[in-house]
Amino acid sequence: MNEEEEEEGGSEMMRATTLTTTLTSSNAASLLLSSSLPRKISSFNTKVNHRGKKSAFGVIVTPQRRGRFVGRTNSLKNSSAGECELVECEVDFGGDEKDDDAEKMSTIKACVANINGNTIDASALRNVTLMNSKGNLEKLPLTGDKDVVVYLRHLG
Amino acid sequence: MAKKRPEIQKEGGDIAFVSVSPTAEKLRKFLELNPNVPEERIFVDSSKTFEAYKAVGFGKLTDADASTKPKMKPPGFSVKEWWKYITNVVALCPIAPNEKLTGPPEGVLRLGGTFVLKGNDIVYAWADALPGAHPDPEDVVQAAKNAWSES
Repeated sequence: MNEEEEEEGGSEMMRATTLTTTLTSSNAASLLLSSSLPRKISSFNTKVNHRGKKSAFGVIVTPQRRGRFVGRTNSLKNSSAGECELVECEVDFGGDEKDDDAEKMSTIKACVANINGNTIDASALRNVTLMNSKGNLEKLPLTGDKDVVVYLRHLG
Repeated sequence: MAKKRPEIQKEGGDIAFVSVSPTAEKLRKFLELNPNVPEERIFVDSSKTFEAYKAVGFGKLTDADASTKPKMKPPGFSVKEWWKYITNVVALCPIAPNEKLTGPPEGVLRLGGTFVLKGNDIVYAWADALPGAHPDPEDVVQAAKNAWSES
């Protein structure tokens, strides 16, 4: 990568950071861009420009998978239809905000999903408060290792 | 998907279900009608703002992008199943007892989806484009097996 490309990548990275910060919901994890991102952005943008589309989320990272239907996640509408795009990035898994060291320790590399323009990581699933059949509120009880979570529509 | 639980457990994992309901009574009624769903593994979002659904980015039926949605098909119910559905749909619908309706209740518009997790990684994610447009349970189990078998 030459200096010009690096500079372009850096500028795209700044834009990506801004977009991610804007679009990630407050309870979703913050997305920190990895050091290899400029290279990934550069290759992804080339593909995007060939198709004449400039996706807001196209600048984040190279997708691992694409949607089974049209599957692009470039709008805040319900555009994630079918299998969603997965991306790998550094995720803050909610360390104590008062303790900078603890927060650094909780930032790890993980696969997240792009769903309707939102970056969703595993902590989003772990932190939801739900009601059980006895009427008690509790966090979703996950094994923490191997879990399948199915969000149904309403019970009817 | 509930029928796939033994297969998932065999791989060392487990399954959890999330739905929408303002009360636990409706969930208990659902469990009575669907005994194959494990009681200890199903939970409902009872918040008026559907926080559990918003937290994972799932949308509403009214937000569906026409270019991405498949054709809506009626479920392949038998006559007995249709009767069971028609006679219980009101009791199960996500409307709070004293809720006044000015349009379709938001709870019926919420769309679901499916996740497979491996530790801190989401290894499979699916967002339903429409009610009933869920992934093939076999595909989900296969995705889980593939991901979980990787070191």
